[in-house]
Amino acid sequence: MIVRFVLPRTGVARFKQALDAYSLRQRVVAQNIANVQTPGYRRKEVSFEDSLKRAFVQRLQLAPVENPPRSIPIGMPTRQVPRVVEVKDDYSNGVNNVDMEKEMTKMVETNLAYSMMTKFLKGRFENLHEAITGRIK
Amino acid sequence: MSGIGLFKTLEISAAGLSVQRMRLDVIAENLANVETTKTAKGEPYRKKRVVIKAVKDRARPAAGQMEFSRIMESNTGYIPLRLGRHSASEIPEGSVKTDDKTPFTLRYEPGHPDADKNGFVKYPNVNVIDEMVDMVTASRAYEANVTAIQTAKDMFLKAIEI
Repeated sequence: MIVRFVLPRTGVARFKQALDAYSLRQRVVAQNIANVQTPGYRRKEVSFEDSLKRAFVQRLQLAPVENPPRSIPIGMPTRQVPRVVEVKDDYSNGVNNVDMEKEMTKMVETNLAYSMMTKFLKGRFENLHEAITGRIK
Repeated sequence: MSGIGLFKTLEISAAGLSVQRMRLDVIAENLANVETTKTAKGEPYRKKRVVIKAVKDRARPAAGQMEFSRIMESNTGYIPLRLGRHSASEIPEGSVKTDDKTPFTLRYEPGHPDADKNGFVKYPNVNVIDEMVDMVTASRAYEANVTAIQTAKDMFLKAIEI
């Protein structure tokens, strides 16, 4: 009952998507770093922020008055999903186009964003817990 | 969840580490043999190098894991990720090759037991400066992989806190 009717309406799915996307980005960054000296390798990137932002904004949007409230897309996950793309640019480190500084920066960013998302998700579960038990932690 | 998990990240970084470690091993061997004029084959030591190539990983998640993800995802309204054709991870793999192309260095040392009739001794085709430069890049790349592992670990611990 809780799993089927409550969870889909808490936006947990969206956070899970964000976490998945960030861990995918971490994987891709790790892969770029691991292949920094692999000839012929092309660096990969994960782009998803735009679709993620759209998903979060969508959730905050108020439905127009004439529309029935059922049309508010609360908790519905977005169809846009992250994608791994191969980047063909002119940068060269001598072997391939992996820029170590860029990858390191991306890694730090990803780490911070991931911690932020876990914090939000934790808060969301705490709210749910309060609603279920009636006790405020 | 196919292949997005942080364990996959650790696996990739570990492969990066072992490739760089292999390079360091080979560099150490080259440096140790920089003056070796005779090997089992009767000729001077030949420089070795690690050739790195990326191997695409097509591992599928285990059946039990698939089932769990599927139930979890269908009940939370989660749409599984479709990641596109570049999503298969590319894992670096090193293999040791002997450098047969670079010529041996000749040094005029008539008193040397391995000298030819003109008094020249063939020394290995190892260039110490090249090896040192390679050593620095290998050790930096190793460090970068360590940092990637640490970050993945951090993220994993954060996920446990939820």
